[in-house]
Amino acid sequence: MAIYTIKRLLAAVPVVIGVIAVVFILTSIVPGDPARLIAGKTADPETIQRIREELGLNRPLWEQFTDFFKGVLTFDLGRSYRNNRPVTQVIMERLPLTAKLAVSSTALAVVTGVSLGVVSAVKKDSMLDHGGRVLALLGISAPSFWIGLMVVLLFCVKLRWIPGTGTGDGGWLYLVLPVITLGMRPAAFITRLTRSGMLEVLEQDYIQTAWAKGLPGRAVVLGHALKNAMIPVATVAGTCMAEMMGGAIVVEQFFSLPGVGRLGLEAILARDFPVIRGQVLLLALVFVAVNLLVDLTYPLFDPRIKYGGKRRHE
Amino acid sequence: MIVKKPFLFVVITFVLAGMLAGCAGTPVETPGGQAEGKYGGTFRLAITESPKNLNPVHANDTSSMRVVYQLFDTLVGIDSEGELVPNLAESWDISEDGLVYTFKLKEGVKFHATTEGGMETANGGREVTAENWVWTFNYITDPDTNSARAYFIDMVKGYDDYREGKTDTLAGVTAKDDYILQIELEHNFAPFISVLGYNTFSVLPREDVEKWGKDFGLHPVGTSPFKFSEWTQGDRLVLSRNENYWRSDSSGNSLPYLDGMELKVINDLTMQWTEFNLGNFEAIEVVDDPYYHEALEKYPDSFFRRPMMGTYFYGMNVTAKPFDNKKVRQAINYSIDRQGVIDLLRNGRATPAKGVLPPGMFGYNPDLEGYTYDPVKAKQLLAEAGYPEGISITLQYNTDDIHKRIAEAFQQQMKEAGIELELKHMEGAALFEAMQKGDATFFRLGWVVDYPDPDNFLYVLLNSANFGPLGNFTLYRNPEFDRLTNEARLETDPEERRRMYQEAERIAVEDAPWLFVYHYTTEQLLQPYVKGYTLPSFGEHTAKFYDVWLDK
Repeated sequence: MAIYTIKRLLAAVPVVIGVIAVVFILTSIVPGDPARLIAGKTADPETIQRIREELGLNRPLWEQFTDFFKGVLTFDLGRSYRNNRPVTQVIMERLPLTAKLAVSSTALAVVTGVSLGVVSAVKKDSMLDHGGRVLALLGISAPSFWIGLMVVLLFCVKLRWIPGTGTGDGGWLYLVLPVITLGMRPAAFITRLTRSGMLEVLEQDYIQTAWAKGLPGRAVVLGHALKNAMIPVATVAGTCMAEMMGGAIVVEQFFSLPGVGRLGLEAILARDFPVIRGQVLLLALVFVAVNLLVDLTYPLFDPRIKYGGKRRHE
Repeated sequence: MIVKKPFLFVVITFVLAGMLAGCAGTPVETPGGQAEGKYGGTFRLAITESPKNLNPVHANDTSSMRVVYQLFDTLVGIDSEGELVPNLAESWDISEDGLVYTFKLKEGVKFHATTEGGMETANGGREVTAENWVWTFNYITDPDTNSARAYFIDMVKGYDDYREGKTDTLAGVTAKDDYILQIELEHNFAPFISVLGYNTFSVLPREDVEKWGKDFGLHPVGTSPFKFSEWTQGDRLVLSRNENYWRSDSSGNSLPYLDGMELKVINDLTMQWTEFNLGNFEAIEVVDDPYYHEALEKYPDSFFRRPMMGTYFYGMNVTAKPFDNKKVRQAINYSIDRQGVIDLLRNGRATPAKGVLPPGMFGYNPDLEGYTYDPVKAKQLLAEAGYPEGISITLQYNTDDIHKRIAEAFQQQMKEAGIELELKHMEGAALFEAMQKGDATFFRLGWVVDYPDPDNFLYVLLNSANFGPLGNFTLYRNPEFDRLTNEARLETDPEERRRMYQEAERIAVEDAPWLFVYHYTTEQLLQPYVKGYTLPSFGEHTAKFYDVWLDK
């Protein structure tokens, strides 16, 4: 397992370098000059040039790239063009909120998705199943800005239970509506995935054997069937969480949450290249880490999968 | 040089107390007598965008300016009507030749003594003297400071030498004693006083600027009614009451009335409206079009609106075909129904533009004819210009829903005049670069004045000395227009200046380097219990809150 993990981490290095290179090139060729944006609508060319020099934009591209790359190795991602703050600090102060959002939304999606999926599969063609499927269809079809509007209308405007925007006074209540909005879609997806996986597994011989042995229903469904249907669910949940860690732009924007998604949007509009590069680097690292973690969880669901050892069943 | 004595020898002295808005309400007893307003409360304002930089020398966007105006003070102020009024200079005197400005500074003005929730500032709350102003002007114009607005005062004596490193200080700015500041100019510049009202030219405490260096914009210290308290980037910014503020109300009670201000970023305009209705904010930055009529009905006495000193237009690169032909440019101006579009798409929240200068601006000409909606005339002009079959042009505009809707309406209207308008939306940064480089041939732009003078419109945006990033993105050149706008900068007689600017504007309207669309309206929606607020014609982002109070 340790060797497998090390191998995977080493394999991730060229991926991350590739991502850095592509992002660097893209940010360098995109139209829109950061110096002009900082100088404002009108400015004398001399000042624009001075700002360019101060930001280091007048240096050859390869020099800027090697500097950036060296910086990455020493955890120094440079300073934001907009306010001269270290990029690592700018990102790190926004990351906890996005992490809370991503983890809570994924947890919500997994818990509700798996529960609904299992119930739908076990009670196939019942009213519960039909209801679950309709809910899942709604969750997949409804765009997050619409869901956001609806939950705000209900919980914030009509019932006045929960604040609609911002991070509140340090409690957790402010997370409820964004988490529902963000978790709805993956929850719906996981419901469908769990349902179809469970239906397939429930047909298998070993499940019939388990029933025949007289095992209680809970043990058959949760212990034998669900475990085997969980691998695709874990993959999807992992990918969803990684995506959310990159920033749920629409939801952060709608609920005015200062997470990395909004930071990225602000940075792109202001052509704040160091922040954009830092954020993409973070996203690449998160994807690599989450994918690795998901892969490492597979043996929990299926002991036949064993990294770095021999297979138990040939 | 024409010198007019009445203007030059005027020593302007205003009684500041008289400027304070008289407000009804439940008064409170304080040692100074009966206060006009109630003390206490936090003014919570929803803003759409986080401020970028709170160092006044770098703040050139409205979101940053809004905060800078609460933290810092300039020598002269601009009142809600756009008129110049004393601020930290209680009076000033201009020499006969218009080259020497002598300011009498207000005594007893102190920098913030504490900041960021009680931390002592490096200056310790000391008094502002003329030496501070000398240092501040040197700091602003220092090339290493890289202030994008330093060039606004490039007529100050010794500016070039200082910028080029030939001198260690800016020769034209000197302290005659603690309270007398003198500024000498290389050449006469009539709008000079107006320029000093721009937020870049605020007094700064040297000790704090040197302490924080480039991070001063994150730790601002000024002289105004509110002190910087805390700032969560992208989320909220908190200001607290400056207990040593220099202004007092008409009864001698200390100002401001408010305990503080809290600015919260709410990007979504629907959410701004929702939160306002729930009573979570005293004010919101924007009332979006779908809620406009509801806001008028629900808040008839606290939804303030007035014309703003800004113009919305489409620029034409007059060196590119077919815009190089004056008749084509005129035809385009005849091809749109301004009022119809304003009513239909903007709920009437703008004034159709007949020319460059907005209503309320010095030099505004109410008799200017401008262009009406006349597709037949537009067609005829196109035929005369050699385009009997019509023309096909492309508009570049920055991605935004309102810009899109307006452009689409014009697209339909122009068809009738034989103009095929193609629409190309671009991200703001990309369009901006294209405009500054002269690569955009037909582009949307909005302009809100930096200082209340026609110079900031006509000279900056259309004089041929300002091609490219300096402001003339259309590359328009007319020798007579140039002469008038150059000479008006030197002219000191207000009536003569007005005549020159009106004549220059008439030429620009005739030459039509812009498609004149509309003049902006500024608005502010407040909770009915907010008192003492005045909406400035400069835009809601320039409002000052030193005498605002909450009646609840």
